[in-house]
Amino acid sequence: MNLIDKILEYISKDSKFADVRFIDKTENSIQFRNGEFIDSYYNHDSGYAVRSVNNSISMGFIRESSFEEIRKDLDNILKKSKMKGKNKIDDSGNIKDSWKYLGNKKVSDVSIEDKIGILKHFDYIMSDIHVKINNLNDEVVNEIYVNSSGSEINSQYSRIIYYYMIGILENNEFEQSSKEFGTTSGYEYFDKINFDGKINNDISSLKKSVHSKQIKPGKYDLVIGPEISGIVSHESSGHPMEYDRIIGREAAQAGESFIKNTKPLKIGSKYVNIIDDPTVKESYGYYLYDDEGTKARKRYLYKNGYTNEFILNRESAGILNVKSNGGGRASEWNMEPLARMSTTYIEPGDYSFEELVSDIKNGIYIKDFTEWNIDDIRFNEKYVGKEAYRIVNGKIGEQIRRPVIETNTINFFSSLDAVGNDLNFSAGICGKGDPEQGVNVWMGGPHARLRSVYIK
Amino acid sequence: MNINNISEELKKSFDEYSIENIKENIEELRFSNNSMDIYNIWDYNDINIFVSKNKKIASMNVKDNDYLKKLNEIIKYVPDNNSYYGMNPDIKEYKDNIHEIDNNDIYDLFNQLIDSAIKNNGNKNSGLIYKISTETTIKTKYGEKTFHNNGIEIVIRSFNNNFSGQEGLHFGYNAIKKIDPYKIGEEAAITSNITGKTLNIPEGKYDVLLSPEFSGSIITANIDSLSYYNIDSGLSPFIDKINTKVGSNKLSIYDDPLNNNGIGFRPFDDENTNTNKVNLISNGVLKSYMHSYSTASESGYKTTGNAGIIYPHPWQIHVKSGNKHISDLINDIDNGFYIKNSWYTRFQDEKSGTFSTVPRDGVFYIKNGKIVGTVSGIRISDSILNILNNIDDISDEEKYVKWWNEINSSIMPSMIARNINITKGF
Repeated sequence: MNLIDKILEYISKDSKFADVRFIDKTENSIQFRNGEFIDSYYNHDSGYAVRSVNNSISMGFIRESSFEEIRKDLDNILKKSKMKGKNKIDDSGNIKDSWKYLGNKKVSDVSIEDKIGILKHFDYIMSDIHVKINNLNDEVVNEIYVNSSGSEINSQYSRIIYYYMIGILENNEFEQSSKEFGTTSGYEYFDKINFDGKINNDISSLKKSVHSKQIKPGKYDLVIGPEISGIVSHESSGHPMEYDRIIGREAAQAGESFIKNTKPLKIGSKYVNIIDDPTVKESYGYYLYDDEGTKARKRYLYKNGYTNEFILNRESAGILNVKSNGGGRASEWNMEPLARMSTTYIEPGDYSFEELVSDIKNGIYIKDFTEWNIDDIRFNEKYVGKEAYRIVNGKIGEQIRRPVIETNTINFFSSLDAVGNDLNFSAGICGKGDPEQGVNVWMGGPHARLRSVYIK
Repeated sequence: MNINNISEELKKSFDEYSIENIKENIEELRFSNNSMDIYNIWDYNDINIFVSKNKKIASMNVKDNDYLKKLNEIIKYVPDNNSYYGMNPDIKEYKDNIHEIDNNDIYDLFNQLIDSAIKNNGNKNSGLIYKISTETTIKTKYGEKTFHNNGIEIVIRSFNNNFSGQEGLHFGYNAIKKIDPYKIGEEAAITSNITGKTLNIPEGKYDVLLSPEFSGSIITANIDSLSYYNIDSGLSPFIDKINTKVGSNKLSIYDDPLNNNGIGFRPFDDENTNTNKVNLISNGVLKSYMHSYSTASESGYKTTGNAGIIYPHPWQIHVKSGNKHISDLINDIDNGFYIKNSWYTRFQDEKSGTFSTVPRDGVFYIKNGKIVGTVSGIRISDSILNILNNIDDISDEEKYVKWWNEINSSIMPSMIARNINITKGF
């Protein structure tokens, strides 16, 4: 009998529900800074997350070892689960399945020399930049999930994230930009994306931005780019629809939600449709089963301007007395699964970019952002534009510097009156939980138009 | 795997190395709505190594028997790190004190916290308690040292309808006996009960009284700007400002790793340099960046005991207290805010330190020295240099604050910052 089965058998005997997750992960990381190699890191780690549900829920995190050595740890987990606490959980199971996605050019087949070559190239094309930081991280994950209800899920996948940060200093004026590109696949990712073009465009817009002027504060019609659609989807739709936040499970950390109950709430215009979908192939948050052995599926968080479906893990589903919808994610083997996003985006509509812009007399196009933040109920938010332009009489005009949207979620979505037919994603690491867990996500959407938004 | 064996192997292949072995025993109780959500237990060892060969460097964890083969493969291909200047060869002795953590039952502590908060009208309470016990050994080419550290971290956020108050505290091994869960629960609940009239205050420049938590949040978000790594990267408002004024005369900031009342206690760094109290900013003048041996050698300074060999970082930041009671500080504000906490600090420009942060857990408007109501939906949108230069007064009381990833374990007073930019949404 495998160790994971022995652990499950032992812990199940004295639990109302139990599950065990084994993760083996190999990570590589390389960093360049301002033309120089700075650091590399290799990490191979694995272990078991063991959960027992009785009067309450307890989890223990155990490295591989002999069963005899870990028996006392298992007894301690069982002991803690007998204390008084919450103990509702979706205990469904009886699924046996496996999935695997490693892409074509497998992470394990790409040499460190080749990875260094990728970063050297990006560093090279940023040649005359004041600040340039380039990071490349990849990981290969093997995961086995078993539970006392008869499930056994095997997952194997690889993820890559490339991050850069650049800063331009001209005439004592500074502008910076950082971008993240991530995938769940292999190194063929670097053949699919025109990174050189994206980096060169970013540099070019920063150089113009340094010399651009700020706009006069006031109300403007606004066109947002996919990066703004993405961050808004993530912050103002994904987070407030995590059901564990709504019930207060994260109240002392990332906070609660402006959504207080399960009744559908109007959050914006009828054009607002926001999806969270782990099954977007090759996305940075791609998975077919979550870290609790629940099958992943697409979820409409907001539909036609109303709240629609929450993101659930087993624990929050148990409190709602429903089944999990596959949102249970843990960032590492030694972390508890929480209700998390995957790929969150505004569903595309049918407007071209030209159509969105064409009937705006006095407006602003904000393509992407630098600073952003939002309050802990995910209502009061701020986005500072990075690459942004005036729109005058239906045409894109001069570049402007750091326009600020400071608004709230309902005002923002209520102003949205047209959605573009394009769709683009950017990668991110989403933080939640204590200890904080950063999980891999995509966020995105099309261009979209908002009417009469106060910009400063 | 035995670190002595690893050391012998590394000695054969590399010029210098550091092996870090951490044995952790951590228990965490998380709670919300006054009841326990989960009890998490971590109990294991980690071994991490850093090696160098001439200017080539690599880091990895040690799990597999073939780690040396992997390390040699990496070192073969990585380019030189021209910013790397070696590890500290001059290792001073450190005598470890083993302090057994009291057998505190954190479930009892949790019950006492909740009882206290509810008795003080904090109806709904969320938070966590960590009980932490670690044994850390660092072995380099030049010596081996071990230290033990124990501590407790407590966070409680207490709600009274839409209002909240939060306490986030840490207790090093010397302070565990002083934990008073009733006082902590009471403080969180009292803040949530300062409700009053909700006011709509326009954007503009205001005086702001920063609580210890809010001070901790802002300092935590900005402190890496004093790491030589950030200076060398060109991403800090403190570049070329040693011995120049970066804050008000009343402001002094230290790294205070030997303070064993806090959980950030750390007697030596990642390359075995003994730590000490480091004056970073003294009476408003920038005195030192945070250095490892390598970054200090690169820049002509001495190590400050803040390795991270490549990324120097603080252990336990301490802002020196002043001499005014908190009630006097409130009284000194004619038109401003008392902000108890903030989160989500993000930068639009790391070179100038321009950022915004979102206040929470107690945001009060002060008029003519009196709290007259609460405020929501505001932001501090300013720069760290402007805030540090406008610190006008500091409280006589310090708190050991720590919260999530927003406040590193630190020791903070309350501070008045004058003329700070407040923005809000439309």
